[in-house]
Amino acid sequence: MTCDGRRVLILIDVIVTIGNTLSVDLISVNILVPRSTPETRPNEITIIVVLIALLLLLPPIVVLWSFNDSYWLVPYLIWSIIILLSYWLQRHLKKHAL
Amino acid sequence: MHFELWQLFLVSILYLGLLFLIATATDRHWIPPSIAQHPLVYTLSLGVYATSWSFYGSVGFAQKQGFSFLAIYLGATIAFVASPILLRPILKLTESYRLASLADLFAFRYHSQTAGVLVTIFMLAGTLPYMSLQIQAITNTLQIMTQSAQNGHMALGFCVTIGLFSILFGARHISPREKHHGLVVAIAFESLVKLVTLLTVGLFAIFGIFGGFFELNQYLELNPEASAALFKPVREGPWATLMMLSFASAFLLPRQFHMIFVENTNPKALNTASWAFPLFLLLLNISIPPILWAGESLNLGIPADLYVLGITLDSSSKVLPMLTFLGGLSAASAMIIVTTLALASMCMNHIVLPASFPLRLSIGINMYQWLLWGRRLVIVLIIAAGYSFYLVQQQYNQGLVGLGLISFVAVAQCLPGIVGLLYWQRASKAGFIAGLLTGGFIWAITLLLPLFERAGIIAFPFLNIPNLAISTTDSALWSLAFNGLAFVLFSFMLPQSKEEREVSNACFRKGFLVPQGKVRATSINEFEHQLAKIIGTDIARSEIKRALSDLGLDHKTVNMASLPLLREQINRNLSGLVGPVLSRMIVNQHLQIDRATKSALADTIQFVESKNEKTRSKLEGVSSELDTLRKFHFQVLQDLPLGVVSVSENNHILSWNNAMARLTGIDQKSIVGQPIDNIEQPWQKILTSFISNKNFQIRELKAIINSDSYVLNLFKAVVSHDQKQRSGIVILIEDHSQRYSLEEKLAHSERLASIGQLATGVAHEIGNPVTGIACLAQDLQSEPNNSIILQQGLDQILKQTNRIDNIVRSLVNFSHTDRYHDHSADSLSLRDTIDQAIQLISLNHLSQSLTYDNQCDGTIYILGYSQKLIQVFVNLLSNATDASSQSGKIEIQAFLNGQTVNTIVRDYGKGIRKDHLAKIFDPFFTTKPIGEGTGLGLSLTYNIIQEHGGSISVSNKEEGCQFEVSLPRFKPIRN
Repeated sequence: MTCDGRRVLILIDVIVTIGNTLSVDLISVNILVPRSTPETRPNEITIIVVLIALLLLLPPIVVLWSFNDSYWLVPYLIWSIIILLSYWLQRHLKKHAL
Repeated sequence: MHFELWQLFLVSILYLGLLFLIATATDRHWIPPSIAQHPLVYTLSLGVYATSWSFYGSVGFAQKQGFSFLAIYLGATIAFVASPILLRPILKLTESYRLASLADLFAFRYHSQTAGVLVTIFMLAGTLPYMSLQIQAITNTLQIMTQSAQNGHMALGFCVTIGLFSILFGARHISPREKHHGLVVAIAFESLVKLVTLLTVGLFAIFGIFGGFFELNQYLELNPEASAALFKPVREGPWATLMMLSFASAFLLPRQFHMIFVENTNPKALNTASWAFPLFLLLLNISIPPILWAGESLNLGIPADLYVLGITLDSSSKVLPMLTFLGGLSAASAMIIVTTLALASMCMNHIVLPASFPLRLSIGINMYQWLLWGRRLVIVLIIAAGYSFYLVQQQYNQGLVGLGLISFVAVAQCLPGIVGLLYWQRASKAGFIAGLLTGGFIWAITLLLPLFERAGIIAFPFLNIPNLAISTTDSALWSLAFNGLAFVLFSFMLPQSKEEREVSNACFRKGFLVPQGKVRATSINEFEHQLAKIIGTDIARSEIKRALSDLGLDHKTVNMASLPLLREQINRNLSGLVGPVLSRMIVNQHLQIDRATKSALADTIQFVESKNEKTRSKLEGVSSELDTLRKFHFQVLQDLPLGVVSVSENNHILSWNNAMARLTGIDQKSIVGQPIDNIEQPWQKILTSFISNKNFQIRELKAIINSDSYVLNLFKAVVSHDQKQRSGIVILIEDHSQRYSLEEKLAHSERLASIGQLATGVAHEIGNPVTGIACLAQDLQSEPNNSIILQQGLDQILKQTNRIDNIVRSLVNFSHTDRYHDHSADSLSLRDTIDQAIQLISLNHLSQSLTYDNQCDGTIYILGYSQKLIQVFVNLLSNATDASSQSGKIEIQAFLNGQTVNTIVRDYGKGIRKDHLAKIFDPFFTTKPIGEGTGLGLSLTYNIIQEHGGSISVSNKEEGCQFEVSLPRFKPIRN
């Protein structure tokens, strides 16, 4: 596996970890926000997805994929992940009629 | 390779003609609506975001700022990912209140014409550099393709052509509130052309220039600095600032706002766009690095902004450069067409109309035509301004991206306003205006004025403008920081007005704008007449017809309570036509509300119910809980087995529950909101007289309705908003008809039972006179000629016959089914009533040995029903008779006690057991052996006395017991 490939895998791992942490903290444990309700759930899920997208695109995560020797399609790959997240978000909201 | 100008002109005209054909085909439904309004078509139409900057300028931007050019699209991606919390709420607002532009939105939210004017001016100022960018890109393209240095007439020709098409595309309809389905499909087609072209050019760069992916990778390995140059600015450049700018521009640029919100026909399409539009942008940009490297490898000797076209001109095919030219033309034309339409709407609603209102509209001109031609003129003026800006700035070549970013920074100044609109309820008009002015000032002195100064258009001898110039990203940060600060500070220092707070609540879905007061007009014709004064008779008629249609009403079904709804709908429709501020002004001036009349409750309730029905799914949190509670209370009232009617202070029906509908046969929908006088008789009379009655209850009101007998209990209570002001009356109606009917049947049965018990006595009482008559008849037979005996005999016979007749008449009267509605209550002599009862009871063989002592004063009168009261005393005397021993005595006394008459029936019998005293009035309770008593006598007695408004009690005495009956006294009027 190339260096780029390993980096992307690490990146995905980081995203999943962050996502899980956010999900646990914000939704299940209710540390930061009151208990989730059907009315607030779409907003909460959307905020989590937007935060994940921002984390991917803003420092310090951005330095993980913007080395000089990164393959030129890596930014597009990151972008694709965000699009997939958005697609998943819409499917999720539609599926649960939120 | 080069092309002739006429060839390019011809291709351009043919292409624009094709677009026009697509738009026409869509408008005429040659293209099925299922395709024209498909979410993917809507998504592609949002591709108007990608202009010449994206098509040509991205390559130049990538050369200078590496992958930072992607930030311009990644910011937009974030905005669309956040659509459920960002774009969706704005879409709901624009849909609900028919807001046709960003200026409309801010003017509405901050309740200020100034806000609308400022946003319009700012958008104009911010968009002109962007329009000039498009003109510059097209003229540069034409220059390269024709290899001609002269570009002045090319730019002018392009502007004239685009101006014409803008009018044809977007200003054919009467108002901007109409959806331009044709325009959307045409713009979507242009986006497709852009996408296909850039992908084709990208593939040409990879396969045509490099020879394939493998060769491209080899090139990158040989030139590692080419790839590194793309990544370095991401780590070190203004990546985050660019993302923020593009985030704001993705929905705040006039063209974006127009396509996302104004042209949206299906809110669900936004869900698709939230992932499909970023995908479109990704595909659009994936070709940029290969094109850049291809251009660099070819050493084209032209600015990188034009590599997209440059590398295609290096090919042997004429098709590819022409396709690229059309892609660029698509990008520029789409931007200018949609931008001018959006700006024209803003300018008309917030500059032209307010400046000419109301004089220009009051002289009887056709407002629709006036608005249509006004918009067309504004479109021409905007394009002319863009062209002028192009002429001015071309002296100093800022580059495509530089001009675009100036516009982005300008547009981003609305970002704090949007935050206030969506997330900060306390944000005030003062804060918004102060923030916009502060941010706009910094933007102007750091970006716009230096641009003009460098072009040599302006010079400030006392101010060194070049020293004020800072980078675009720095300007963006400073201007937004101060904008936000001023926004917050002024919002705290100068809080919202009452009207602003109402709108703010509406924006935060905590309510909707409820008209305070009562609509002065009393009919729809008056509405039309008033509206005609400002917009003309035909237009007024048309607008009212439209509003009625939107509400699902027609002239016939409109009632007073519908007028506020109609007024609100007219306000919304006019808002789409002339903007929210002017529409409010027209409606407030000509469809006036009497604010002094606070309790137009019928109108308010129907208004709120109607609104709530539509917005119920949008309520959240406490509002949702309260709405659930409200629905529960409403349902309780609806399902209550009592008739409930509430009437406003101005005698309009506010509510009419299901029981009332069943009782009256009058449908709830048809009566709510109507004046009370419109109710059918006799209900109108019943309700009106009860409302005007001083008493708060009427018991046992008897009425004949549609040949049926009704007995009703009516209660009323005053409803008040506060303790001082009455806002209506609520009336409860109990229908006792069925119970009365059953009681009557029961009473009749009881009477028959009593008669049965009297049967032996009756036979005896009738038998004696009959025997007497028989003897007399024999005497007369024996002495037929004795006139004295004959006369005496006949007298005796008549006397005995009268005696029989009296007995029979008493029995018949007693057993007769006297319906309660046959007559009203009479004044009765208590003594006579008791005598009749004694006469009846005397028929009982047990009574023969008893003495009935009626000591009542003959001057005492009571109010009641004779037959029922006789039954009361028959029952009481019958019980007393049964309880008395032979030769016993039963006394009946009466005495006055204020407004009542107390009658005592006293016997000297065995009395009543203590444990029976509490049960004695219970139905079916009897101490008599089975078959001798029904157990209903005293129960019926109790009910009859209750019905008369009296009371009955029983008590044991030393000897026997005593019943005490209290009845209302009647005072005869003495002449």
